[in-house]
Amino acid sequence: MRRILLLTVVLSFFASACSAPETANPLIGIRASTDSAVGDNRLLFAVHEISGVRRGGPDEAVSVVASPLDSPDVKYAADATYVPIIDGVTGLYVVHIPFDTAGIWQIDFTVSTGEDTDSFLVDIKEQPLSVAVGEMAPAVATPTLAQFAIKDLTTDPNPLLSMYQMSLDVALTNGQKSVVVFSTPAYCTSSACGPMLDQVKDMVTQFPEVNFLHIEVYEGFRKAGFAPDENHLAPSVVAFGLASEPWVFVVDETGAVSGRFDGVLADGEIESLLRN
Amino acid sequence: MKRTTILILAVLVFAVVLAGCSTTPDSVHEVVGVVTGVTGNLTDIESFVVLDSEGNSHLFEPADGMTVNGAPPSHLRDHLVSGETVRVFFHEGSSGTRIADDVMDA
Repeated sequence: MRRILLLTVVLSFFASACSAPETANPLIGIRASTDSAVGDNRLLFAVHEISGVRRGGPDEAVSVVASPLDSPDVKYAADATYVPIIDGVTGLYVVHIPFDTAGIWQIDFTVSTGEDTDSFLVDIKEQPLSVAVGEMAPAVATPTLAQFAIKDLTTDPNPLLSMYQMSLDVALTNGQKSVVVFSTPAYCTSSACGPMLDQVKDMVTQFPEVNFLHIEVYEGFRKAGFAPDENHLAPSVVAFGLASEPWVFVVDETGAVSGRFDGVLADGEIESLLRN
Repeated sequence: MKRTTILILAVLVFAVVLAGCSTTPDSVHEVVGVVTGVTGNLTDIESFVVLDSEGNSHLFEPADGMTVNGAPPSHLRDHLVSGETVRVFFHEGSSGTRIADDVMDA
C-alpha cells in the first residue's frame, strides 16, 4: 500500500512537472483610448508585464477577441498593429473592432510569444463626449496669423506656419477635407509625448488640397496669470467637447467628421481617409 | 515579580504610543510605477491609478495644485500612453483616500 502511495506521489510530481507551466504573472492590457462610443472602431491599448514594464514591438504580434460583457457569444476578432511612440523603446497597439453596442466589453488578447494574458474591460458609451464620426464639426472661428504672431498661436517650438493661416470655420466650409489637430506641445515634457502634431505636419506636403490646422488647447498661454484651467480652454476645444488631448479630427468636404483619433497615430490611419 | 510586570506594561504602553505618533495621517509617502488609468477631463482630473513593480494598483486623487513635472494633471494621460514611470508623493486623507501632492518622472 505504501509503495502504491509513493508511486502515486512520484507520478503526480512528474505529471505536474511535464504539464504546461501556469504563469503566475500574465501580461496585462491597459486601455489607452479615451471617449470610446458606439460607432468608433478604434481601440488603443498597451501591453505590460505585471511589474509595469511596457511590452510590445513589431516582433510581438497581438491578436484580439472582443465581446460585449452581456453578450459573450458575440465575438469580434482582429489583429492589432503595433504603433511605436519611440522606436525601439515604447509603443501601443491599435486594433479596429466594430463596437456596435454600448456597455462594457471584454477584450481578450494573445501575444505571439505565447505568454499568458489577462483580459481587460473597456466601456463603450452610447454617445461620445466629443464630436462623433458622421456629425458635423463645429464651425468655430479660431485665431490666425492674420490677427496674431505665431508665438501667440502655438506652443509648438517648430511650428508649421501654414497650419495657422486659416480659421477653422473657413476650413470647414471651403469644400476641402480638413485635418484638425488639438494639442498643447508645451506640456509635452517627455520625449515620448505628443508625436501626433509632428506626424500630421509630415503629411502637409503630401496633401496640398487638404486644410491642415493646429489648434492650441488653451488660450492666453503667454499672458501673465495664465493657468491651464477651464477659463482658458479654447472655444473650439469646448465646442468639440474634448476631455483629453491630443486629438486629431478628419473632416470631409461637407464638414462632417470622418475620423477621430486620440493618443497616437498609426501609419496610414489618416492618409487612408484623405485618399478616399 | 510585580515590579517586573509593571515595568513590562509601562514599556509596552510607551512602545504603542510611540508607534502611534510615527504614523500620523499627514505622513508623506511615495509610490513609483506606471499610470494605468486616468478619470476626469482636461481641467479636472478626478483620480488616477498607478501600478507598482510588485503588481499592486494604487488609486489616487490629486490634491489642489498637484502638477506632473510642472505640467497640469491632465499630463498623466501622456504617461499612460507612453508607459513612462512616475513617482507619486502622497498623503493619506482623513477617509483613507490617497491624496497625490506631486507627481514626477521616476
